[in-house]
Amino acid sequence: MASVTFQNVKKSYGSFEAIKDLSLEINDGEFCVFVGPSGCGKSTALKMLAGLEATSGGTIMIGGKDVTELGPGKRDIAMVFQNYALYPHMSVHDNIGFGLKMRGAPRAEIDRKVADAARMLELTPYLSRKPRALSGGQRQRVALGRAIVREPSAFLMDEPLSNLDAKLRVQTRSEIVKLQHRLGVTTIYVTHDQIEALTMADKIVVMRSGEIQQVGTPQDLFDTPRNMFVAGFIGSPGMNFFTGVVTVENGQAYTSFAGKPVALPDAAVRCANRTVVFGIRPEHIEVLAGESAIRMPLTLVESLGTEKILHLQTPESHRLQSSEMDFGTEDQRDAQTMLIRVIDDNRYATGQVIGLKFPQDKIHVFDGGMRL
Amino acid sequence: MIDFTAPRHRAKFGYLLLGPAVVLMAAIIVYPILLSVSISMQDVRIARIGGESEPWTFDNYIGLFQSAEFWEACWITSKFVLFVGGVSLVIALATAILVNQKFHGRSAARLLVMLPWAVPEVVATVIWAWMLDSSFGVVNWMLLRLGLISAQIPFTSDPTAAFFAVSFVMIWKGYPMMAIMLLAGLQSIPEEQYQAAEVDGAGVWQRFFYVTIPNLLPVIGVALIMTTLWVFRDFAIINVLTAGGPLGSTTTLSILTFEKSFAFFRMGEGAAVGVITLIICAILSRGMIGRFARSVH
Amino acid sequence: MRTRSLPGNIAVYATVGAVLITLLFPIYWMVITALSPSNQLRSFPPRFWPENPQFNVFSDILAAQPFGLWMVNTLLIALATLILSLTVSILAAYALSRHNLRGGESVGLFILLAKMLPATLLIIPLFAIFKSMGLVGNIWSVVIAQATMIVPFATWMLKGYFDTLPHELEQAALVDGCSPLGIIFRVILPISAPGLAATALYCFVISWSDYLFARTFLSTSESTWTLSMGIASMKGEFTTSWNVIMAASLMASVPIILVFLVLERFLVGGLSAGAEK
Repeated sequence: MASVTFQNVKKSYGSFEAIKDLSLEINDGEFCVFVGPSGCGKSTALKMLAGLEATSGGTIMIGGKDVTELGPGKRDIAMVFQNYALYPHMSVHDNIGFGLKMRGAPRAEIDRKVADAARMLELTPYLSRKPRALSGGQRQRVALGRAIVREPSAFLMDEPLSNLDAKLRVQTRSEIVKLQHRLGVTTIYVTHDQIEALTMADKIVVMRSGEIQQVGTPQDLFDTPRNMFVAGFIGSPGMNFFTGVVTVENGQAYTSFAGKPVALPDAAVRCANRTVVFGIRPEHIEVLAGESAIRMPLTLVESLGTEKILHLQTPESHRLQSSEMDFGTEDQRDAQTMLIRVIDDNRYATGQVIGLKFPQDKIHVFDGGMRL
Repeated sequence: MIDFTAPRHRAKFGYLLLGPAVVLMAAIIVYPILLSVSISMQDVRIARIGGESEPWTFDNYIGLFQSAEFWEACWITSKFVLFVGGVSLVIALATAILVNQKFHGRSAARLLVMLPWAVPEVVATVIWAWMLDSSFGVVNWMLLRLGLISAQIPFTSDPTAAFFAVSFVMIWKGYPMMAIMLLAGLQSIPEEQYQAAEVDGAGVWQRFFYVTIPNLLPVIGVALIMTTLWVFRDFAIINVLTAGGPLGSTTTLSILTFEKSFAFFRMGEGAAVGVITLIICAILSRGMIGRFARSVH
Repeated sequence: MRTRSLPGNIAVYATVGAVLITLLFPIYWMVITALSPSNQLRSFPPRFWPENPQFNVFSDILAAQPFGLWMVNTLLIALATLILSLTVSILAAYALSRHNLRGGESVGLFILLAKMLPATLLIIPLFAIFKSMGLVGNIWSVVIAQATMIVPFATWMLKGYFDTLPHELEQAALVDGCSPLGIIFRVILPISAPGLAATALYCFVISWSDYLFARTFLSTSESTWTLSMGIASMKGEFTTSWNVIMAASLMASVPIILVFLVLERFLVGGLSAGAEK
């Protein structure tokens, strides 16, 4: 029905390839989030989908129809912009109804549909106001109203929450998801914030430098990232990375960390006697006592009550290059620090030596950037 | 019909929109300039479209370079440019700075300062003609009262005085545009620069020379060139006040162009003067071309 | 903001007053002379306020000269020039602002060209062209000539203004199904009042002040004369009725000054939108 398909879509600006070869299928009713660092091509992909930019190759289909050469007004889509893009000289009512007016809907029908949309978004008391008399959150809702009133095949959203303050962002986030579930319209949502992606999406598309890194559900991307970039990009605080040599003993792969042996998943066996990259999330590292535990001093303790973030220094022999740690996220991880996230009632102090365990099934092994 | 909303065709719409402007420019400016050049190369009395054209020759130009009146016109034009440009700049800068200060009625002051720009050139010229009248003009009266002169100056019949007469009108009409450009420039100087200078101990005059002037230099440059071009081009003021006299003392290149073409009907020569003027103006504004092109693109 | 001391304040207001009086003196003089009875003009020292102001000089002018005709012609020309210039410049400025066209730089050159070009040169071929088209003596010759000289600068001003409008507005309008021309008229122009006002003021002032084009193309048909031509004709070679000519000048200036007073505040914005910094 209202599925969205990218087939081998390319985009070049002169000699610069912004999108290399994008092929993707988005199902009807899905909430699909494009996420990635700035310059990854997610906004370009959205603009091509909207018809605001021409493709340099490939086909775009909406609802089974080839729309590649059609203008934005003919693709049966609606769009919500980062800066809301409300018409300053028109009232809220006229802003919302503008698309219907352009399509020649009779006045009565426009009024009715605008009233319905306004009711759904709690904008009814503001219908006669101009955008400049509204708060940021209200303007955002008018932008949403403009989109839903046309009952399009797809919603396109370009970082709609970026201009809101943190509290409003969280609130509006859940409102948008609820709205989408209620209306069931296929939604393509672009953001640089992976938390938005994880909390809102049915399907996430991680992009980097014009190429798709991975497509999957939030849980898929979290549990089984396809490569180091996705592993480091998704999740907050990001994944810990360290290097090490793989040794195999009796068919079981091991590496050593701070002098203690660490059991590895079976996939690591094929990397015997080589140095590869390992990853483990801060929330998966276990703190425990015992002889076999890795002993490390804490360099910093960030306490939020029961939740604590423990910092320790990555042993030098295990550090990655800082260039390998650049995932383009806002909270940059550095190669010298590893983090542990614990939720318990213990108290921790800087300098305290604690015992750690890296559970075998929670370690990710990366050879040449790809996850094994 | 091409759908101009389609992403691939949107740029074409831009070219379409540009069409009327391009047509107008081409027909009324570019083509006539080319025609002028061709007229200037012919021994033409009255230019006509169509019909036979004379053989091409440089005689008009050669004749000009050998004529005293041409060089005289160049000299007079330069005098005007320097005097009018310089004095206008001082007045414009002073008024711009004044209007930039914060005081009650500031916007009214700005409006009044600009007023001479709105006054039609011919009106401005006749007002000044009356004010400079040799017998009953108020300017003569003031100069006498102030003891600066001992006898009334016949502004329109004395060659030297006529130069000043025309200059006064030009300055009066010209400074507002300059002032407004300088004002826009002044308002774009970030306040922090003044504050930093004050913290560094700079007084009012030092702030003027070390913050205001350096920041304004580009705008001053543009304003001076615009005024220069205007002085080169102006016709109404001189024509109505002195008609280029007395004894050709206020005949600029522009006036000479007109005189030769429409008073003496030697359009070939007139066009030659005009073409030379155009070339001079083009050379003078070379510095501005780069900046303008960048700001438009 | 530092507050000024009392002597500082006095200095500023005194300076402003002095400057304004000096700069606007000619206008004051025009009004005074217009109201003076003609026998008072030949007085030396000149009177700074007429003894019995004559207001019927204005009605006399309207009755004696074809002044009303001049006014109507000037007004018609100004309006026609305004409409033509604005239409052409709006379209061109929008195209230059939104679409990165390859012709962009040449427009900058055109602006300079229009500013460098001595109109006295232009009228030589233009006169021949218009004569061959039978437009000499027709006000449309003046309208076209004026508009062409105005369009480059007007385009530049408007482009500077359009550049300040966010691109997303048009993108939203496109998604809403608006046609490209519809975007200009329904979305861009309604929010461009300041830029349009500045440009309109510029057009009007330049047109109202024009003398060269009017004189070149309209000399032969007195019924098409403009105010500038009429007033210039009132200045005799040897004698001039100064009070009459001042009164005519005053009446000729009032409309344009009124327009100026209303629209002036948009001018600084309009110029700085495109000004070099």
